[in-house]
Amino acid sequence: MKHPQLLFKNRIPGETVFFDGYRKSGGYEGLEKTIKSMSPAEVTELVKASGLCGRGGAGFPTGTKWSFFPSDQPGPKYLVCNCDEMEPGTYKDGVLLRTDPHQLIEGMIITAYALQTPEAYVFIRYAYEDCAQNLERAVAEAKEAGYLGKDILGSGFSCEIHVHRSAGRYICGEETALLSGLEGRRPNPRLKPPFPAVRGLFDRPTTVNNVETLANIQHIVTGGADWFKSLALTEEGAGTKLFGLSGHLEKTECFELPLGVTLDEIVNEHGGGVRGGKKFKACLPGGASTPYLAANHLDVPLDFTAITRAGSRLGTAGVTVFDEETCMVAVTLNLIRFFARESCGWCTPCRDGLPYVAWLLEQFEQGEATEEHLENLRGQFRNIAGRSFCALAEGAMGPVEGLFNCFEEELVDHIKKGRCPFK
Amino acid sequence: MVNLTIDGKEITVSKTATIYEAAKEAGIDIPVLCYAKKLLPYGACRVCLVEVEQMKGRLIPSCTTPVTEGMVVTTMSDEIQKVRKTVLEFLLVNHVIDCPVCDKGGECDLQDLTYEYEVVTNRFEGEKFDLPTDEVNPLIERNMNRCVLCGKCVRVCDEIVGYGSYSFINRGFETKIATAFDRGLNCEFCGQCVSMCPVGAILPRPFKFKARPWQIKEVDSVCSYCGNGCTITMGVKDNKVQTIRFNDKIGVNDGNLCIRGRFGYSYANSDDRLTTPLIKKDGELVEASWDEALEAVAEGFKKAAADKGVGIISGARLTNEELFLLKNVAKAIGTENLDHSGGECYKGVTEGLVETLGVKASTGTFPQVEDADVILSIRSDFYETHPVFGMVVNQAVKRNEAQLFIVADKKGKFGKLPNAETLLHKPALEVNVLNAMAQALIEDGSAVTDGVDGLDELKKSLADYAPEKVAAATGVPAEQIKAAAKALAGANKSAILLAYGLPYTAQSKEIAVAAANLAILSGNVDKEGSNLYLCGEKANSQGAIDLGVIPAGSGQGAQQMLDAAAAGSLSALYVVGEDMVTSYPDREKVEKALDGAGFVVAQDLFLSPTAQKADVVLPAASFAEKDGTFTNAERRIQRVHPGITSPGEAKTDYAIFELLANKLGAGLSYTGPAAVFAALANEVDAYKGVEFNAIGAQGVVWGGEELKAATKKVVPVKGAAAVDGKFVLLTGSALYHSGTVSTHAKGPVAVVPEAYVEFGSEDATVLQVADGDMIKIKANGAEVQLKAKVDKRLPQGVVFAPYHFAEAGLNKLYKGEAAIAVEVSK
Amino acid sequence: MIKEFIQGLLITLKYLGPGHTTTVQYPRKGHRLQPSDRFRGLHRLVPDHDREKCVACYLCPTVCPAKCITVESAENEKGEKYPKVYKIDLLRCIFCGYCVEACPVEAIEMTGDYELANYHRDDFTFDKKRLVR
Repeated sequence: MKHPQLLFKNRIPGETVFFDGYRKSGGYEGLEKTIKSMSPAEVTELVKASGLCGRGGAGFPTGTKWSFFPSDQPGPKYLVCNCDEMEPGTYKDGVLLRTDPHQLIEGMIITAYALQTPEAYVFIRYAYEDCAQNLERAVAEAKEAGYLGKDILGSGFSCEIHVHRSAGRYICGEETALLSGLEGRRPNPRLKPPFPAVRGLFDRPTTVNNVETLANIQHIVTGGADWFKSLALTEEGAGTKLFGLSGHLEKTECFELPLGVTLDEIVNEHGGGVRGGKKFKACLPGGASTPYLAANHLDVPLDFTAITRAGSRLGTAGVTVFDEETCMVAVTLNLIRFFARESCGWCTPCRDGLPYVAWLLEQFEQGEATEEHLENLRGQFRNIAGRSFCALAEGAMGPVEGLFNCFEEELVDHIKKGRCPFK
Repeated sequence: MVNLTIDGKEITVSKTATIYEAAKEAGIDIPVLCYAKKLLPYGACRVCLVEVEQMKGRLIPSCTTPVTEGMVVTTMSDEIQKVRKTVLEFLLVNHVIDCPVCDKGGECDLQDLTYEYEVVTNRFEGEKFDLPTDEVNPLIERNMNRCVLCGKCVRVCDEIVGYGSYSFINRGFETKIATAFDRGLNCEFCGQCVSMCPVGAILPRPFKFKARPWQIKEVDSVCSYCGNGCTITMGVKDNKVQTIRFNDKIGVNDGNLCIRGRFGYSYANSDDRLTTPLIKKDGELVEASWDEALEAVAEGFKKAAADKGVGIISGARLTNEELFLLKNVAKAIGTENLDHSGGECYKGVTEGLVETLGVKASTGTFPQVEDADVILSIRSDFYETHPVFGMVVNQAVKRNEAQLFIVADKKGKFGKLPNAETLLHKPALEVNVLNAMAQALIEDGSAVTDGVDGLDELKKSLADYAPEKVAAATGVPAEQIKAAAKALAGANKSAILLAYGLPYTAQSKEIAVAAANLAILSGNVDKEGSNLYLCGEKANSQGAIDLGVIPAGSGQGAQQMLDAAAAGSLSALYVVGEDMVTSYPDREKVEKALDGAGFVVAQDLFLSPTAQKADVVLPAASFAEKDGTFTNAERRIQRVHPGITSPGEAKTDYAIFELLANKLGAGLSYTGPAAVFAALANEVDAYKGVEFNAIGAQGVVWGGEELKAATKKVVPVKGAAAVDGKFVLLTGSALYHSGTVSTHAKGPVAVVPEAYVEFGSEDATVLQVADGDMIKIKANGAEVQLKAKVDKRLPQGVVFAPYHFAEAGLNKLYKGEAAIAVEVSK
Repeated sequence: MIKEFIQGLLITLKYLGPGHTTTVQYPRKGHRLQPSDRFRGLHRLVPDHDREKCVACYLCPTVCPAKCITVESAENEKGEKYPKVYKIDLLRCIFCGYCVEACPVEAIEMTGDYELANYHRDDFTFDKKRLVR
C-alpha cells in the first residue's frame, strides 16, 4: 500500500483479528497510557488538537463534541457507539468490525474514560450479526484481560460495554432516533435542544459517536495529535478515512486512504477504473444522501471542507460510481424510493413530500413529465430540504440537489424525448 | 424575561416561552396543527415555520424553538406562505375530503387552514387512504383516513392521562396511529384524544351526526360528578345537552376530563327522568299535580313533626343555594335532623381535621400539587374517585419528577408511574401504616414538634406502631415505611391526598386524623406549598360541609335517623337527591327505615329504589338545568349555569324548596340564586365577602390559595386489626362511575354496564375464574351474585366490587366495614 | 327615411298578427310552459341509487336567508349520514337559490315547476317524500 494504514494495519482478508493478534500489534497500549498518565480532560484536549472529525456522516469535530459533555456531572452518563450502518453504499463499519473489533473496544474505553461514562452501548445493525458476535467476543476478552469492567487497570475507573442489536431501520442511524430505539421506544428523532449531551439516553447526558471515529481514538493517543493531523494530504483534513467503493468499478472494496486523496486516485487507481473500460459519469461521494460529483470533479481532494466547496459532502465516504450508460434520473428515483420508505413518518414534508418527489421522478422515467413537473421538482427540493424535523429528508434531497447541479439537461432530455434516453 | 421582536412588534416574554407562545401573547397568529398548550413541544406538522433573522437560510419551527434575547422573527413572507401551503397540500394528498359528513366540519383546523391558505387544487396526485374505521366501542370513533398524524392523541394519552393506548405504527407514507396490535380501542374512554384531535379523525360517537358546531350553544358549567369541580362546556341544541365541548381556557382542569365528565352528561337527557310528581295511592305511585303533591308533603311533615319528628337526608350534588334553602325548609318543619351523604364518610373533615388542624377543608389548591416534590396518596382509588386530580398527580410525577408514595390495599394506576412506590398493606390497615410513618419520624428525630400540641399522648400511643411491628401486621416492609416517611419530611413541598365518600365510611375520621398527624409531624402543615387534601366524592361535598348540612345541636345524623325510623321512633323521612337503598351501607337497615317511617318523601331525577318506597315523589332537576354554585374539594366556589330546561313538570330543587317552604308557611322569597347566595354568605363565615355575580370563570377559593391551620394538635388514633378470612371484599368506586347517577348515563353504562367482582390474577387461577363467570359472594348472612372480572391489581385473597349498581345489591353484604370477610364460590 | 320608418313599423305590425305573439292564455291554454333553464322554481332533492344524494351537511339551512329549510341528520344502517328529516317551507322560501349554490354534493337543485299555489298552509311544507323526485 502506498498510504499508511491505521485502522486496517491488521487487516487479513477473510479473517478477524482478536485479542492476541491485536495485542501483538500494540493494542491496548493506548488505553494503558491514557489511564496511567492522562486526565480525562487531557484526552479531550488531545482529540480536539488532532482535528478528528466525526466519521458517521456529519463530520463534526469530535473533540469539540466531547467538550460539550458534562463529564463531571454526577449520576449516570452514557457513551453510545452508532453502528447502525444502513445507508446505501456504506459498509466501512462492517468491514472494520470484521477485521479488527478490538480497535473499537479500546477506543470506546478511552472515550468512556475521557467522558467519565460508566456505561457504554454499541447500537449495531441487525444485519451485522457476525460483527455483533465479534464484538461480544472482544468485550469478553477485554474484560478477562482487565481492560474492561470494574476498576480498569487499578485506576478506579469502571466501564461496561453492552452490545445492543437494533431492530433495524435507516432512521435508527439518526443519533436521537437511535437513543429512542435504544430505550425501547419507536425510533423517532427527538427535539434538539436539549441535545443528547444534556438529555440523551434515558434522559441522561449521552455522547453518540460513529464506529470509525471511536476506532481512531487509540491511534491518536498513541501517535499524538500532530502525527494524526499530518496523515491527511490537505491542510484542513486530519487522519485517514475508510473509503467503501461500490458501483461500476473494477474493484469494489474498502480502502483506508488519507483524507484529501483525489477522487481520480480513488476511481482509477484503487478502484481499478470504471468497469468495462467505460467512462466515468458521476459518483455519490459519501453514501446515498450526498449530492453527486461529476467527471469535472475528479480532481477534487476528498476531505470534509474541500468537497463542500465542490457542492457535495464527504458523508460516510461510501463512494458509489456510475458509468456513462447510467440514467441519473433513475438512480435518483431509486434512492428517493429508499428514503421515502425509510422515513419515520413523523413530520409532514418527509412523510408526504418524499413519496411525491418519487412520483415526480417516476413521471420522468415513464416519459410523461412536462415542464410543470420539472418546476414542481425544483420547488419540492426547496420545500423539503431544511423544512423537516431531522436530517433524513435533507439527506434525501442530496441526490436531487446533485441532479439539478450536474444533470439538469438530462431531466430536460427526458421531457423532450418523452422517454428515458438510456432505455 | 427575554426581549424579542416579532413582526416589528417588540415584546417581552418569559425565557421558557417558545416563539409561538411569544407571538400568541403579542396577538400574532401563527398556524399550528400539532402544538397543544398542555403537551410537550413536538414540531412534526411544520405549518408553524417562521423566519428568524439570526438563523437565516432556514425556516424555524416556532412551536419548538425557545425565544432568545434580541431575536427578530418574521411570521409571514412569500416563502413562508409557500411552504405552509405546500405542507397543507401534502397533508391533503391522502386526506379524504368528506367535510360534508365529518362532524368536525366547521371547527376543523385543517379545514380552516385550507381556506386561509387558499389550497383550492392539489398538484399532488396520490391515493386516498381507505382504512377501516374503529367503531367497536360506543364512545370514541376513530377514522384514520382523516388523520394528519399530529400525534396529539398519542401524547395526551401518554403524557396527561398516563394510559398510553395509542402509538404510531408503520413507516413513511403508511404511518398511522393505532392501538396495540391495531385492534379496536379499549381504554378508560376519558375522551382526551377526542378533545385534542385537530381534525375529524377521533370523534365522540354519541354525538355522531347530531349537529354542526355552529348550531350549538355553549354553556359553561361545572361537572356534577366528583369533587374535582371540572369545568365542562355543554353543547346545547334543541333543549338537550348534545355533547361536552373542549374548553381549556377556564376552570381548574385545563380542559382535561374523565369519562364521566365527557360522556356522562346524558343522564340529563334520559327518557327515564321523572316528569311529574307522584303520590302513593293504594300502594301505587300515581301521577299528581305539583299542588297536590306539595300539599301532601306539607301536610305529612306537619303531622310527623307534631308526632315523633322528621328526618332530612340530602345528597351532596345540590348547589350551595339549594342546600341553604333546605336548611330553611328544615327550620320551617321544625326539625334539627339534617344530614347528607350517609352521615359517616365526611367525618374525616368535620371531625378529624377540625380536631387536629382546626379547619374544615383541604388546605391547598390543585395546581400546588403539580409543584410538589413528594406526594403521599392514601388509597389507590384516588385515581378512580377523582380521575382528573389523578392527571394532576401524573403531571407532578412525570413532568416535575415528584416522588409518589401510595398507601393502598390494592395496586392501581398511580403505582405504575415512574418514581411511584406502593405501600401495599392488608385491607383496612391504612391507619396502622400512617401511624407507623409518624412513629418513624419521631424515632429518627426528624419530626416537627415545635408548637405541636398533644405530642406526649401521641408518642405514647405510637409506641405500638413501630415500623417493624406494623410491617409484620400489614405486610408493608419497615424500610419502605421509613423511607416514605423520610422522603415526606424531607420534601420542600409535599402533598398528602385522601379521598372520602360513601363506599369508604369505615374509619373515615381515624384515617384523616392519622393523615393530619403525619402532616403536622412531617412539616407539611408549616411549609408553604405543602398541603393536605381531603377530597369529597360528590360535586358539592365541600359545600354541604361549609353550609353545615350536618346534624347540629340535638339533631340526629343520617345513620341515627335510619335507626330511629327503623325502630319506629321517627315519623317521616325527606330524602333529597340520594338513592339510599342502593348506595348506603346496609341495605336491610335502609329498607327497614323507609318502611318504618310513616311518611317518606323522595326528591330525585329518577324513580330510584328509594323513590319507589316513598309516599310522595318529587321530580327534580339535573345540574344542567340549575343556576347556582358548587364548592369543590379545593374550596373553590364555582358557578353552575343552566343549559337546558327541565323535562315535563320537573323542577329544580331550588324551586321545590321554595314552594315547599311557602306551603309550610315559612314565607321564603328570594329573587334568585344571587339573593340566596348573599343570604348564605352572611351566615357562613368562609363565604363572607364573596359576591355571586362576581364569581368568575376561575371561581373563588374561600380562605385563599392556602388555608392556614388554626391549630396544630396531634391526636392519638388507633389502627385496626386485619380482617380474617380467606377472601376479603373491598368496596369502592369504579373509574367509570360516580355515585348512582352515572348508572343512568349512557356513556359510562356503555363501558361498565353492570356490577362486577374483581379478582387478582393469582386468585383467579386458583379458583379457575374467568371474565364473565357468575360468582356467589356470601357474608353477613346475605349472598349476592356478581360477574367476575380478572385483573392484575389485587393482591391474593382480596376481591373488589364497585358500589354504584342498584340491581347488584352489594350493600346487602356491606354494612359500613372497611373490608368484609367473604366466602366466594362459583 | 320614410322608407325605413315604414319598414320598422311593418315588423311591429307583423308581430301583432297571429303566430307571432308570445303572450300565452294561461291557464286556459299552454300550462305546460317551459321556462328557461336558469329559472328557479320548486326544489328537488336529487336521488342517488337507493337514497337521496343529500348527506345532511346542514349547509343549506345555514346559508338560507329565509330560514325555510329544516334538516335533521341521522346515521343509516350503513353508517352513512343522511337527512332523516328534510323540509322546505315554501311560504318562507324566497327562491334565491343559495341552497343550490351551497350544496357540496349537488344534491339539491331548482326545477322549472312554477305552479305552486295551494289551498292549505300545510301543503306548502315540502318534505323529503315530495322533494325527492
